[in-house]
Amino acid sequence: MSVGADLTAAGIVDAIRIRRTSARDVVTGVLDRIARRGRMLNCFTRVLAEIAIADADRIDRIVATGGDPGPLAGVPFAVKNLFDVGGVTTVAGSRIHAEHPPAQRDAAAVAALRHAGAVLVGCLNMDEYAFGFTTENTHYGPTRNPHDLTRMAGGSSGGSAAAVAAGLVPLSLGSDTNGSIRVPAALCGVFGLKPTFGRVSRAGVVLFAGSLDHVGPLARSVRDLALAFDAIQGPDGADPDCDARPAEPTTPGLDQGIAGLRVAVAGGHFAQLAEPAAFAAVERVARALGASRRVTIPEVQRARAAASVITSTEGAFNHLDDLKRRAKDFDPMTRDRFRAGALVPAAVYLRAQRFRAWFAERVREVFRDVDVVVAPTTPYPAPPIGAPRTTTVDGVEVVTRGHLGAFTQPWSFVGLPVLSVPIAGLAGAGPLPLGVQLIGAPFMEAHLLRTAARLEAEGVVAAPIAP
Amino acid sequence: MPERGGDDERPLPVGGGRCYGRPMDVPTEADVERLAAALGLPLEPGSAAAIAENLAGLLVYAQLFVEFPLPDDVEPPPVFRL
Repeated sequence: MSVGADLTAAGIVDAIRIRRTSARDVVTGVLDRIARRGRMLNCFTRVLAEIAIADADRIDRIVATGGDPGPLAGVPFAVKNLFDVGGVTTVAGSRIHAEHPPAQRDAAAVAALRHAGAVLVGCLNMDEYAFGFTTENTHYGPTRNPHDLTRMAGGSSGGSAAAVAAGLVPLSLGSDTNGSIRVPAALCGVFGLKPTFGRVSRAGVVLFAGSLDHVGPLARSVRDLALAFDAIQGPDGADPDCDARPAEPTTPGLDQGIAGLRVAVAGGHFAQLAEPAAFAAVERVARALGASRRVTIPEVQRARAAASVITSTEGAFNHLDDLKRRAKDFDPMTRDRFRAGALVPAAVYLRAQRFRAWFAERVREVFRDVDVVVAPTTPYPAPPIGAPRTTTVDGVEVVTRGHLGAFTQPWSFVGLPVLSVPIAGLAGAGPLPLGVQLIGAPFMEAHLLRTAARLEAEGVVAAPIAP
Repeated sequence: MPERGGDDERPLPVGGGRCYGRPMDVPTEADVERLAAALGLPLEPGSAAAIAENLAGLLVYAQLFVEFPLPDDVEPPPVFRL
């Protein structure tokens, strides 16, 4: 029998294991949905139909012979096109990388999901080299928000969020340097997890800014997010920044509730310069969690500034050879920002890294008394594609695209795990969803997933398929 | 005019903090051309203005943490770890 788009990854696994359906039927259904809706949304840059069907058949053979097909058996997934996929060119949203030879092997996170039985169906659109919050990619076209096709999907993992929000796949992978999983997850109304720095291997990923880059999953349910995270977390010698700490499965404790967790709401910077709907979303979550305490993180604006300088500098030097040889082939959305980053003095870059060490210690102090901090993900819902450069929030002019990361950037700057949960039906946001960040102490992803599961069970947060 | 992309937001004014040395100059097109030449980065005619504006934005950001006093024992980690 065919499986509907509304089925979660966990539901698909159950259906395949009891042979109510087959992996081939699931994957065929997904490929059909991608063919019908994918072009309008422009979230896929490559569909891997033959590979996907072959992988699905392999899962079906394992099930038929009584073997263990894995915790994600037959679950279709897709990846931001900066993840290596063996035999496929990793374009990283660029024209330049499109000329590269195919990747020799899968990125570590892709390989881990496939090892767990998941079936890769394609590669997803993004901002060029992950430098942006919008997925308004000049080379490959903008990815459209499934809730309103005239609006941005967010970025840089915009394809990853839109594909999940539209029900094309139940699961995707993205990357996050300053908010690139959380921003599109919020704007498209899905769950997105940016794990702790070093918790998930980045081997086989085209890095944007190496000291800030993370990879993580997006999904429409908390359990799916936990299943994917458990499959990809853990040490990997192929990524020198991947932590040696053993994997700590989160799925078994998902329904433990939040007893014993100390939850607070972020004040100061995180309570300013956003539309009322963004604060209403935070209040809704805080009320459900019984969080009345507020915490203030010092010097957040300087932290954002340092994160931006580190991002631009590291990003520029990753692409310096191409900037020298063929700048004209860069996306006009990124070209001059990369070139400016190349000209930042080394003393300034190192000062930013020193400030980062200081700021990390201040944030660590906050988490001595708190387990989960609640903050908005974005300051407003998805802006229109091609929106003007600036917009006005609370009477203050801000840069429309850059300000999307105002609340995400400070946390990734110090590598904390953050889960963005989706909320809809907010006054002032119309049909557009918003997100709320749950921020945890290092390597405490389990706290975030338990908290999100509780919110989901109470109906406070949800990720229904965009109509 | 800076490009329309993501992380190019100009920071809001922030008070406080000691300033070591004088504030950084706003880079001119000529500054950009000299810095790019020193780095071996060719620029096509007419491109320096937009790069200068983006660089100026980054240096406005930089002023925020350059002017912030840090204890001498705060080191930049060779690899960022928590």
